[in-house]
Amino acid sequence: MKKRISKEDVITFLARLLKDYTVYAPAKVADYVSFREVASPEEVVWDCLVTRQPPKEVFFPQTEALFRYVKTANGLQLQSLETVERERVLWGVRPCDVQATLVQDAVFDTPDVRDVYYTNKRGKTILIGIGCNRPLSTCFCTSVGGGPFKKEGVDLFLTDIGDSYLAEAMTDKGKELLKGSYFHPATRADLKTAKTVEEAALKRLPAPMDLQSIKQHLDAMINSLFWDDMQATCLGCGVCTFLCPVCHCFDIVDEGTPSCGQRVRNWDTCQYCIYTLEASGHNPRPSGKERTRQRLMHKFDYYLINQGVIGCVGCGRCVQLCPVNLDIRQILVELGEAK
Amino acid sequence: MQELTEAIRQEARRLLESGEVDVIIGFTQGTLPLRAAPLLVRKAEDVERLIWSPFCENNLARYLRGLKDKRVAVVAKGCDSRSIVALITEHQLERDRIYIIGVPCQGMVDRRIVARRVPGEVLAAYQDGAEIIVEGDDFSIRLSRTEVLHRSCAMCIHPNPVLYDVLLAEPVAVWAEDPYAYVRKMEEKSPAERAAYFVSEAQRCIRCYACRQACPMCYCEECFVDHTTPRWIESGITPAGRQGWQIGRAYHLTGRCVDCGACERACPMEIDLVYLNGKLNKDVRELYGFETGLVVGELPPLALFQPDEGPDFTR
Repeated sequence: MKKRISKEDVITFLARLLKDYTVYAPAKVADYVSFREVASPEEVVWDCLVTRQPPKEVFFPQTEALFRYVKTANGLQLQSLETVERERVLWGVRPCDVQATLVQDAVFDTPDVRDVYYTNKRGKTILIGIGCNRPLSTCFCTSVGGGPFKKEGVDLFLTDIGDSYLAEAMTDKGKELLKGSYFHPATRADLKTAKTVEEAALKRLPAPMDLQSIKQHLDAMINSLFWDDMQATCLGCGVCTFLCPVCHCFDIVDEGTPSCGQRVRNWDTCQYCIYTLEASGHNPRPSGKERTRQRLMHKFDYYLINQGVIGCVGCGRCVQLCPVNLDIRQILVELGEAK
Repeated sequence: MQELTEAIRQEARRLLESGEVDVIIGFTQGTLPLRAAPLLVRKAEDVERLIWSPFCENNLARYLRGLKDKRVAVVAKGCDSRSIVALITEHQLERDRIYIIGVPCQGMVDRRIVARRVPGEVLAAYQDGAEIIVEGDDFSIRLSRTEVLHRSCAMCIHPNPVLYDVLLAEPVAVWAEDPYAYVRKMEEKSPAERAAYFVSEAQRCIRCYACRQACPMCYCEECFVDHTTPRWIESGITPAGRQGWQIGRAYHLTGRCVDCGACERACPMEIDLVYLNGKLNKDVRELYGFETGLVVGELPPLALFQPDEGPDFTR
């Protein structure tokens, strides 16, 4: 089902959503744009393709108290802290970040393992996606199975066609939203404009990489000297992983005293030396070589084996934000040439 | 710039071909506009990858400790050289293993300031005399280099290397008058305003520790935040955890920081870090008359105890 909504009405639509939902959208934080809760449509930044932080915190907060414990005369009392008071809308999410959410679904919501904290928030969130008319020079979504107008995973998808958006419902929730009076039937001209916009966007993206051959290459590279050189300038910080929409490693700690406190889940990253440090003092990934190799191997090899998808969505955040400009695109190219 | 690039390559080739050093640490062309990337060169045929540009923003002294068993040549700006002095003073480096290729610095360009001055994505940027030309899909803008410098560079009073084995150009004239102008501006605010500012800056911290990892002086085998028995601060991104990290990091650098700004540049959340270390540096200078990394062997005041110092030793 495809409809159109004018750019003025889309503000009204968002204002209407704000009455019923907690809305997370790209908005100004200091001098950059990140996903955060917004209180009014005016706060939303419409033209930011790649937000500084991905929206993954909406489902998987960086720090999350899982439960509280208190020791009483009657024994230990546990109290769950997981609540979602209002249903949520993730507004203006880009196809790469949606694709990343689908990868995270495959981690946190499987037939074997169902993470209640993640799935509770995820199930109570409507995703309203928007296409990318002008992908950035750091974008490479089409290399990793995505695309600037890939609609899979959203409830409602918007395409900027000039003075209006073309709105397409992808789920029943999306169809429900399209019943609003500000949505009008899309004309043939609207569809044509959308097609033109999509084609122009694709032209801005680089030619896709051959990821299957990269995977095969990686299989044989565990002991390659490539890793020594490739990571020589890596600082070993958490920028690339914490700002990655796909990365999802966490650590669980108890904070408090024996009598009361809480169990907390924090993001963790394979790039930290203590990530694999064992209680004995042994560290199976003792240097940057093993840690950077793990990041690449996980994203472009192990993910394909375990989840059948690539652990990278081509958003380019790690490319933009690495303090030493270690560029994953370049690493993948060099990797293809390495022995 | 091209002359300096050539001079760096020539010196690097000489050092590698003669076997004087095993590895050169310098900069190469970045993959993005407004960026240069640190590079390790081990073979003479690779020296052509080395460059010098207004975008060489990293402090390369950070890599020296990791190459302890190698003879290393490092391309050093004023700040990199001061970090080297500080590291030698703290017995982290042996002077005779390090060959310092000194490069007088004109200040490095802040890619974030540039991005805010132009109407779209920056697709190309290069230097033209005293200006930086920035180009995008439908714009080409000239910016004066001095207006788009990193804050720490704009306030730098030591742009020339203080220690070197070779200096590749004539020293530059110092442009900044007051290295603590920004700190003074902060000091004028009320304590409540300063506290509110600190809290709001720290509130963006994601504890990725890029600031720590970019800093040549953050070399502890085990950082206090990674210590679990006892745990010194809260583990997560709670206000206490974030502020604890920010304060702990800054304090541990008291009298050891060279104001290079590498921490702030590495920070993906654009947190104002320079004023915190700047304040501590200003205090150390005013109380002890000490500036970090100027003289080899001159210990930072907080690492020094003199038996004859009186109770009013700060005067």
